[in-house]
Amino acid sequence: MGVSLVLMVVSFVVVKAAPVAQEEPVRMNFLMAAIVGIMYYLALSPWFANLGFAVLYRPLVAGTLVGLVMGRLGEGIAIGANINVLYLGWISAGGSLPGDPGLAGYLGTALALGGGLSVDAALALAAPLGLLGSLTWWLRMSLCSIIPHWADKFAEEGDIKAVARSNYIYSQPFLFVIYAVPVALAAWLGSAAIGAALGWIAQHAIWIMSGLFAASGMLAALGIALNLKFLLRGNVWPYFFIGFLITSMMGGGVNLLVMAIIGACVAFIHVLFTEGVAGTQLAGAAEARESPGLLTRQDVFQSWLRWLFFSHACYNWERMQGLGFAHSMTPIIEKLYKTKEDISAALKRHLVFFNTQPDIGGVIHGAVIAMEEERAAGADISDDAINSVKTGLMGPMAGIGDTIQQGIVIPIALAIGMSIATGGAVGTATTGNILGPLFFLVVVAAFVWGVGWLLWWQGYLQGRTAVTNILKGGMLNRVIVGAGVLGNFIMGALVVQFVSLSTPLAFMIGGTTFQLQAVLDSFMPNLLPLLLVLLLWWLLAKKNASPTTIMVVVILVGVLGSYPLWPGINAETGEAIKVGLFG
Amino acid sequence: MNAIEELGLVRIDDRLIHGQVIAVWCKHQRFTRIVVVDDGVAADSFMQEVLSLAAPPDLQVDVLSIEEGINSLGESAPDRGTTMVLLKSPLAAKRLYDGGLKYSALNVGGIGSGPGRKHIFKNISASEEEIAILRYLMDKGVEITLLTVPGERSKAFSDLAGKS
Repeated sequence: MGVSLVLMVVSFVVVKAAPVAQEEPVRMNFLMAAIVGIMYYLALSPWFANLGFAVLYRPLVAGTLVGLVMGRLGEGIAIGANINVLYLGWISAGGSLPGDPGLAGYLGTALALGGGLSVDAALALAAPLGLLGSLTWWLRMSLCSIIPHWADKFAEEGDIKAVARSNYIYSQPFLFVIYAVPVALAAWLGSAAIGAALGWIAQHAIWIMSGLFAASGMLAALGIALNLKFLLRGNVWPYFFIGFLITSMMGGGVNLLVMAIIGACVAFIHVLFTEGVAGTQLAGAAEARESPGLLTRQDVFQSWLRWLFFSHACYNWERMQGLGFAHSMTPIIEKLYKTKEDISAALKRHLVFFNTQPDIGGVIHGAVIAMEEERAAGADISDDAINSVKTGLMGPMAGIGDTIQQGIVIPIALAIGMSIATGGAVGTATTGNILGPLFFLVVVAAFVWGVGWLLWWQGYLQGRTAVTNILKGGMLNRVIVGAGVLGNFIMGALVVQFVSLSTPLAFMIGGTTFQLQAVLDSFMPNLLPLLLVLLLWWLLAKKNASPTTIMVVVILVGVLGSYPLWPGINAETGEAIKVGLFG
Repeated sequence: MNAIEELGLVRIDDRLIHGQVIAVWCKHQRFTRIVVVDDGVAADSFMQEVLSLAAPPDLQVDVLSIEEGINSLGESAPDRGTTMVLLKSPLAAKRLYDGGLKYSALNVGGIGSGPGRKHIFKNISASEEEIAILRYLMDKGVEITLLTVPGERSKAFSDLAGKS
């Protein structure tokens, strides 16, 4: 008998309960607030082998950690997943950072728990907070521009250790102060304020609570529409509707991991039919260059470790990852060059402007290490030759790396993680499953560490031709086309799972009551979420509307639209009452 | 009279094709073609191969020398509206303009720091000479915007030039 694989499909029915007015808040003490602030700093710090920005910075994980600290793990996970929907398609490319998922995640979860906001309304509170992050990012990038000038002086003296320290130690007090301190204070002082405001709302204007809930559901639609702006194009758009319809037919209760596997199979078939059979040439098949043998695998690995941890430790406007690059080269320089002049020249050579995607871009470092080794062995390799490899390749590798890491791996792993965390109901789950954030962590760590080292090492073995060898054979294009199919398919499923929008409106016509929602459902279940997502996509993609403006409008429409002004029916007693547009 | 179709985007970015260009610009605005105009890259077959392999399959990438750019990107070029022209420096932008390839808007997206260059905005640095070139183009009526990617904070070069 073969192995039988049993996939557990969690099925459930989304019950639209009236949103809970106010949860029992967690009393936010100073210690908790301080830990929340420190965690936000850590997410932007270099201490987690490149998993800070890729993993800890994401609201799903932020919510989990804040929930753990505040003794509400389940709620924290659910809140994190709720907030993360808005940032599913969030991409920071080339040091530009629109909005701040980490700030929305850490501070948003802390304030929601500390103020007693119900889980499903947290996004409406966190979304505006995310906008403030641009300020601290600006400050960070500007402040850290000072440090490379100190490093220049240390390089002049040939002081390898001091150049390394400038990157990973001297930069950190700046970051700690601008990240940890404001967030800790905001979490500490803000919780009470939010709690008081919610208390007043619960007493005097309970409809605002429904409004925040409706706004959160609509913001989830914005999160998906932002993704669709990138995905819903070309000849792969039907997969969005297929994903939506399958999930909708199954009542929303599909395991997204199963959906992702179906989507991957469909993507494979699509690529096979449109791009033909895969070429036989695989990455790494090319022959290695002649190495002079001055460096060991251990030296190359030590260099990679420094990059893995500290590539963005002192990220700044002036040289971006320049200091990080020099730091990563310190073990190589130490091994290859012995005189003060040679060491100083090598340090200065690598302290210049550099910026690429840290995982995929590692192939450049590998190639540069190979050139340094050959140069130290006496080959005629000029500073210009080394520089042109760096400056020529950093852009293209960033383009590919951002597309794959931020555009494919992170969003898809996040979507699945968020679905696992909330049993497929991001908008309405009140407690979360730790397996969701863990799934996300494992997938991203495997990519960042596995692919990162693989490319670094191939770069060293093959030299700069590693880049063309890896890109040849069309493998990259197949991955990108396939990811477009999978992405559309998943987004379709997410419309059902993540966007919660319904209306309590009802009409009396000739003595018969028509509940609008029931009428809509008889046409097609989840019609409102689908129409809202498509409307927002149209505004973003075709009308070039700004996401920030849409966010503000959506919150206002959600909250104000929930004012009980319209005719409805009390479901229990059948009497006519006033209701808001959404509920 | 038929209006000449403007070039989709003329951008100075010394990293040429990279994350901002592929992952953000090309998603924000429809491009069918990226033309890198640079004498150095036009003479470097390895870099040409890298650049064409680095772009997504639905984007055509061409690398031209400045002279070829002037000759082949003119009014009769196909798909001008969905063409992105990438240049490494303000000097290249001036040589194109003076050579007869007129454009009404210029995006300065990224210029790395280096000897003689000072930081002017975000990830953009420029030397005195380069600022003078940008001012020259501005005086010719080119609208110059410092902007890394759409949706970010931008700055008009005229604001900057007014102050210094």
